[in-house]
Amino acid sequence: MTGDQILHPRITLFLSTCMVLPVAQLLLEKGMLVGVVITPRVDADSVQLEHYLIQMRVPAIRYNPEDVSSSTAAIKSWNSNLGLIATFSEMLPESLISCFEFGMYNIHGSPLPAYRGINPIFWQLKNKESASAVVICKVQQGMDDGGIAISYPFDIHPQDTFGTLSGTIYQLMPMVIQEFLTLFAEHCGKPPLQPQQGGASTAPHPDEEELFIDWHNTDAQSITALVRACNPILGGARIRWKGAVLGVMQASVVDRPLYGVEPGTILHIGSPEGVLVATKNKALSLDVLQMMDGAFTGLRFAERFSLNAGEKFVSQA
Amino acid sequence: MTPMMPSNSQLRELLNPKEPASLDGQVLISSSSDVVASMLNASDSVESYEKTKQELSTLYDGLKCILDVADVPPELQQRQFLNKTGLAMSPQHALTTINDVLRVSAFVRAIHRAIGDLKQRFNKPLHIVYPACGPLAPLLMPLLAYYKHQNIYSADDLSVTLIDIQQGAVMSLQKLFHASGLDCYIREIICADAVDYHKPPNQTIHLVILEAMQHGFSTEGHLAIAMHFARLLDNHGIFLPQKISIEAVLSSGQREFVDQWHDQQRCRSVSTNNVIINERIRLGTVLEITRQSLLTLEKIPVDEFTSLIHCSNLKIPDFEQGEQQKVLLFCCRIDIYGDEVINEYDSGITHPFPDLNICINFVPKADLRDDDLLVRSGDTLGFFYRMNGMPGFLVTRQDHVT
Repeated sequence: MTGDQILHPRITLFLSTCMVLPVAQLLLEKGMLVGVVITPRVDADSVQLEHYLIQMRVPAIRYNPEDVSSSTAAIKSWNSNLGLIATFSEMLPESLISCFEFGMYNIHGSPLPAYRGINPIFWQLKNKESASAVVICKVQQGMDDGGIAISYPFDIHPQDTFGTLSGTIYQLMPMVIQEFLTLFAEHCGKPPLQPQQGGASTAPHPDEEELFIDWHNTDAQSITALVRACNPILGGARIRWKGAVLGVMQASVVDRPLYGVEPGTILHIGSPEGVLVATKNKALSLDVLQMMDGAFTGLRFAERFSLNAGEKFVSQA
Repeated sequence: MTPMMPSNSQLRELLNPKEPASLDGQVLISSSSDVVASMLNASDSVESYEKTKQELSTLYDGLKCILDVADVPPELQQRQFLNKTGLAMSPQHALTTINDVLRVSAFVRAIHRAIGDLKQRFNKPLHIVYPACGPLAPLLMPLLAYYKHQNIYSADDLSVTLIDIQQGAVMSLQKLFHASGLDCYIREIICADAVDYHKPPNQTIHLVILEAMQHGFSTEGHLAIAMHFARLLDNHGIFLPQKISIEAVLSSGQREFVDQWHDQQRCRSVSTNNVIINERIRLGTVLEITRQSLLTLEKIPVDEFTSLIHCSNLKIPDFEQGEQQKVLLFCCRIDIYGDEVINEYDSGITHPFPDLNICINFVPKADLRDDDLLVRSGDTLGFFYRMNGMPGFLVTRQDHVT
């Protein structure tokens, strides 16, 4: 390898969202970005990403898990020697990983080995974590289990939602990658890797059932955590009411007697308190509800759909 | 700063201002008096019922603006909540209860008769307390209007304390009784939880009027309030209603609620289908609430907000299953005073109430819920009354019957 290859590695980025374009722009400005592999998931976000990359004149292809050789051929045509994964949910085969002389590194939004997998943000919020980290780890055959090159810890705000926590991670990515590149250069393309330590846990996509509020078995604080974890991408924590499924986009714990009623029972409807529901330990204000017909404050929903105190939200999904 | 241009609708409003909501006290007295006269002279005929219904509707039309007339803010008009004894419905919703023809009529006649009897017993002004009365005090206000209009009883004869937990209801009552000139009868209008009312010393309560329940004797705090006022009532006073009886029966939901009323215009006790009623399997009396039982019911404390009252144990007999599952129903009858009765189906508060969690001689095909209780013929059911923010009956299986 040449000194220039180390100082200016030829990087292929693996992306799925426009939210990490600042990373692409950083690498482009440094003259390091040679190509982008886009997620096989075709949605508005990834289509927009494709357009941006065309405008930026960055070579890009759609990854096809059924046709890995096309991706490897493209990577080889770009003469890329380093792969960086930033929000790309596919498991990559060894044949692709081995394309890169300096290997592949994944940028992950949790303090590994905690929350390995494709949805660390949801589970960190649901589990009421107060801190997280942006981590760059070496890609191996296993899922998020490689040695750690960079770990940048940060606090999770108690009111963070999926959207704001994701935003925090995206904002930190360019800085963390900058640190990684410095480390990469200092160690001649072999940055020192720390083995992952501590308890490992996984972070898969949640099942639909896991998004429903279990009124009988979940305390108020855990319900608000679930609500934040489901806001906005997942459309809110689910509650079932008269055959319909509502999304709770925001909820707050309220100090109010429960009067011995069953969890899920509506305690109060009125201004300024809003719609208050009993949980197993505290009262919960349903601040914002979402359904196909639109988003409502709790009070507006109660007024529009004739919600009554004493009615119950059921726990079953 | 450029002044905002008013919209066309705002300009039209300036040119043709709407009349503010108002209450004509004289019309109110007259309407109330008419409807009470109809009630006191009512028969069981359809014509009599329709006449009373029409007059109540006219009265309601004159009263439904009372919350606006009383300047009750929207947030107080719509507020509804659970408290330690049960549901406090919104003043806005409570207004409509005056339209429950048979219930209001029966109570008005019963109260009138009770007052007549009490006047024989007590040679002094009668003190009437009406807790959880709502924004209109519908069971008493029309009667007071009738008394004033007909010069039957004056403020020297009757003195009334009205109590409601809703501030909006209290504002409405103050406006209503003042605008109608009926405030001469008012001793006090109190905004408080009825169970927190303390009778002033040396004061006698001669008559308590209470109706705070939903079907199945559930949801609202009637029992808690009744137990409280039973202790405050003079020994020779009268508590209305005098008796509430709740029975448990097993019935087919389809037959009871659908087939029975298929050809009927409305649900009434006189229109029940004897064949279908006789298909019921009667388990027995769950609870009988009288002034005497109110003083002796024992509460079993569970936690800060919950207590239970053991009502009865009733055995499920053997019976022919038939094509449809049997549902446990709570059937309520209210003996208000004398022969004034609200039977099943005469009012929303006496509609039979199904407990769908009790599965008798079958296992639900869908997923079993936590609240479901699977029981069989031969089992003994224990009936408890749950007193907390959501009062109602709790059914258990009594494995060891004592």
